[in-house]
Parts: sequence; structure tokens; C-alpha cells
Amino acid sequence: MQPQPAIDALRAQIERIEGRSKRARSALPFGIAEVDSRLPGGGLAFGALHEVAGGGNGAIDGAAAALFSAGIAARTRGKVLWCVTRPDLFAPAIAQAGLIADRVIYVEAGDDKTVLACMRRGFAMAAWEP
Amino acid sequence: MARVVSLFLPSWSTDRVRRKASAAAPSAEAPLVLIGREGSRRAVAAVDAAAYGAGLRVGMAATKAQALVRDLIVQDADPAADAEALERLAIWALRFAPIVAPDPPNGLVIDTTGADHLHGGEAAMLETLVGRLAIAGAHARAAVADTWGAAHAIARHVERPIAIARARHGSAAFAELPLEALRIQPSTATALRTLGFQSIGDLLAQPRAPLALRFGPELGRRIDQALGDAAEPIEPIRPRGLIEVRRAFAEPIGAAETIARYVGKLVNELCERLEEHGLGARRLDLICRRVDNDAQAVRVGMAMPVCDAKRLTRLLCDKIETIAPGFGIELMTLAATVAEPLKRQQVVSSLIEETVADVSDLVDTLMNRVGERAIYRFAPVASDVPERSVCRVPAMAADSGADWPGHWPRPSRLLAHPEPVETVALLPDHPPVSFTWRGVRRRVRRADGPERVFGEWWKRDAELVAVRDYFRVEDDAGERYWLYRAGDGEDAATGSHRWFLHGVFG
Repeated sequence: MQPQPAIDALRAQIERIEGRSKRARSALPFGIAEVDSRLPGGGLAFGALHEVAGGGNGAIDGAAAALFSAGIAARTRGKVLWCVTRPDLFAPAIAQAGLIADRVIYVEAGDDKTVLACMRRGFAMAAWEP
Repeated sequence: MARVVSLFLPSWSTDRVRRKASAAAPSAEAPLVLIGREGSRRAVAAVDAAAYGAGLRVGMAATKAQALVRDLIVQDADPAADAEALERLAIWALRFAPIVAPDPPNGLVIDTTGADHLHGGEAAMLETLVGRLAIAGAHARAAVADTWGAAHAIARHVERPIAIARARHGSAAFAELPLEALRIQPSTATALRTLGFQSIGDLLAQPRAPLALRFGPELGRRIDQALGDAAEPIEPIRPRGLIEVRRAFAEPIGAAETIARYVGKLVNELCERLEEHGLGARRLDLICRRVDNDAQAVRVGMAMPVCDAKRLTRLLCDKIETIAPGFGIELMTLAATVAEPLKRQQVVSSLIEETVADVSDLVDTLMNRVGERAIYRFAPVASDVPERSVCRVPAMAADSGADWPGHWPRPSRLLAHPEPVETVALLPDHPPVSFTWRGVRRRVRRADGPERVFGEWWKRDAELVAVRDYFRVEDDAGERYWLYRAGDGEDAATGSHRWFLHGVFG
């Protein structure tokens, strides 16, 4: 992507108006230059919503997405809140991705609406620290 | 809509006697009767199942009972102790919902409006209730319905351990039941039978005025209570020494903001009281008594003892929307029904040590939303059988530091039940060449295995020789699956040699 100073300045201005810029933005780099250089901030931004989506084949691609997310979460600190609709994650695999069992609190919400509500609670209370 | 559980304990007195005697108790097959006094006559006051089967009935003369059954165990009835035990049971049942009352002589009534989802739904809640009592040695039948009257009738007159009447059941739930189910005097029931009435449904079809003229207002009141047309408040039992604060309003309140303000005031008072005792609340019950004498209850639970007014207020205020103020609330009662000693922690300075974010607040909030059993952590169990290698522990359990052995890759999704697949595979130890799962045939490109898992002979005899051979396979599309063959491929005793899909790597 080409640098666009005018748009970047506008974005910064909007953020200032919305009062969101109090929190220092930081990011979690993947440590792979090819990936990090294409991400704003040089990695996945903390305090932001990221979607890890599989392909169309829900059950199978979802498994890979779960493992990928676990790998990312493993590189942060503190507890991880994992909201699921159905309990089909296998904890040993999550641990093998580096996210040890003591760190993950699972919330079994039953439906998508409750998952989102629980996640919102989590966002509201989580202390965002890199 | 209110939901009321009625618990019926058919042999409460005899169960209590057996339970008190514990080890010295007579065996369950030995008939046991309790004898009480009716004036100068000694009569049977309670019979257990065995004695009932032998033909003994309540009200029979004691001497006749002894003449009828050999080796009959006879003990003195103690109605006061029965009532006291029932009260203790009611206090125990407070774990299910905030409003519980003993329903003498042999029942409990629990207002579970809005509390069932915290126990996994009504069926699961009643199963837990009846199951826990069965473990403690008390036979119980439970029913849930819209009104106390209906639940009472169903629990006592439907021969099922658990009965659930659907919400807004109206009169259909109990119309078939006999007249006695209405909680009327036996003499009234007999007189009604003489007039040709058989079931409650017959009575409902009748005009009310002649019935009231003939039998008095009691009959109509009981019918209205069962239908939900007449209020029947449940006076909740309160354990002794309970830390409780209350506030009565001269002018009934109803607005959500007003309720929130007074919740805040009550929580402050309660926290002061808790602090005096050095306690933290694990569970709070807020009961709002309305002007029409209906009680609205809110319950919040905490994973750890909490004595922080702000936090408790927020948890309670999250639930204000579940309170239906009706024409107004005139009395609010806030009680810490479960309180535990508060452990004070010294906060380390962030200069020298990394602070760990305290998530107990979040856990409490979510727990009150989705229920205690829906928020958990996984912990390792020393077992090679995959589905047995994990267990759930409370979200706020102490960190164990334990981990699973990482010799073999594990799939990120494990199917709750292994699904049988059709395979083409060479015996004894080759991975499948292809397999068909959920109607789709997949060709295996790569495979790794077998990882042999032996049955746990100390758990079940059938597992003495049982074997599973797990394979990791990858299909043409690059998707990886975890398959296993039941049995070692040679000896049929080790398993059926059928193939199953147990997990997905993605």
C-alpha cells in the first residue's frame, strides 16, 4: 500500500475527536517480516477486534482457525477469555499451541448472541496491556 | 410468568429416622412404621415403602400393624423433629433459588422464576434436586408449574419422580388429577365425590356460586390458587444468623433508576455489616416484595468472597431488568446467603513485580449471565484415553501448572462421540487408504500412526483388553483428521475393528 499522509492525518484527527487516542496503540508482531510489514502498526493491534475466519467448510476450517487464534493468544500475557457456543475444543491441542490450560477461561454461551454479549463484557473489563 | 417447584417427600419421617440411625439403620427391605398418639390410641403415623407394600396404612392401630406384618420395626414418631429437619432441608434448598419455604408436613416449595437456567434448565435442576436427596437417603418427587397449587398437585398425584408442566399451562396440567390434589379437606373431597365429581376438570366446568354456597369459600380459593387467579405468596425461610438488610418504602417504588439507587444503598449497608464480621459475600439474594404481596427475587453469585460495594451493586443492577415491579415495590431485602471469610491480599507495587490482572470481577459478571456451570477452565487428567484426559475446573480455581504430555499432536476439535466411518484399510497396522465421513469420501494422501491407546482396566472390566489405534490422516484437500480403529487389527477381543473419526485438526 502506498503511504497516504493526508488520509492518515484525517484518521488521526477522527480518533482525537472520538476520544479514543488516550490509549497508546501497540501491536503484537508475528515476527515474520513478510506478514508484519503488511499489517498496520507492524502486527495485530491490541485492544482491537480481529476475525480469524476459516473457509466455507465450517467444522474443519474452524478447527484450524481455533488453533491459529490459540497460537496468537499464547504470545500475550494474562488470562484469556474464550467464548464458545458449543464445547468441542480439545484443551490438549490448545496447550500444544502454547496456550497453557491455566490461562484460558472458557465461557459456553449456547448461541451467537450470548457469545457476543459475553465478549463485550470481556472487552469492557479487560485491562489492555501488551 | 412465575415458575414454582413443589418437592414432595412421600416418606420423609421414615427416611429421616433411617438417616439418623445411619450405620445402625435397619435395611431398606425391613418394613418400618412410626407410631404416634391420637388421644389415648396409638396409631401408625408414617409408613415406609416396604411397610406400605405389606399393606400397612397411616391411621391404622399400632397393634393391628404389628399383627399384620412379622418383624415390623416400630419406632415413635417425632413430628417436631420432622418439621425441624424439613426446615433444615429448606435452608439447604436455598442453593437453587432465593425463595424457599417448607410445605409441611412433607414437602418444600421453591420459587424458581428465572433461576433455572443457572442450573442447566428446569429438567436438569429437578434431576439435581431429586438426585441429591436420593443420595442423602430421602425419596422425593418434584414438579414444576406456574403456580404453587398446580405444582403441589402434580408432585403428589403424578407418579413420576420429575414432572414439568409447560409454561402457561392453565388448567390443562391438573384437570385430570383427583379432587384431593386441590389441597382441600378430605371431608370436602368425599362430599364432592358423593355428588359425582371425579376429577378437578369436572369441578372447573361447574358454576362457582353453588359450590361456594355448599362448601364454603375454601374450595374456590384453592381452585383460583391452582389456576393462578388468586395470589399465594411464599414466605421465604431465612437461616439463623443471616446477614441481611432491609428497607421499607412508605411510597412504593417502580422505576428502574429508583430501584438501582436503593440497591446501592442496601449494598453499602450490607458491606458494612459484612466488614464487621470480616466476611465476603459469595451469594446475594435480593427480594423485592410488591404491593400485591408478590415477591420478585434476584440472585447473584460470586466465584470468590467479595466485599466491594461497587462491584456488588453493579452485579445486582445488571439484573434489575428481571424485576417486574408491577404496581410498586414496598419492601426490599438484601441478604448475603452465602458468606465466607474474606482473605485480604496485599497489593504488590507495580515497580518491582508484574501485576496480574484480576479477572474475578469478569468471571462473576459472566457467571451470573450464563450460569456457573458454563464458565470453566480445563485441567489435565492422567489418562491416555483422549475424552478422559480433560476435566472441567471452576474458572477461579488455583493454577495447577499441570500440562498434558505433548508426545503426540492432538486435534483442536474433539467430537463428543466418535463417529463411525467407512474405510478401506489393510489389517493389521496400516492406515486407511480412503474413508467416508458424513457422506463424503476422502482419499488419504498422508498418514501417521498408529498411536496405541489401551483401555483402562481399572475402570471397567470390558476395557481389560480393549485397544484403540489412532492415526493422523490428511486427505487430498489438505484437511487433517484423527481416526482410530477399535481393536489392534489381529485379535477380535480387543475391539470390533471398525473405524471411527474422533477429531479434526483442521
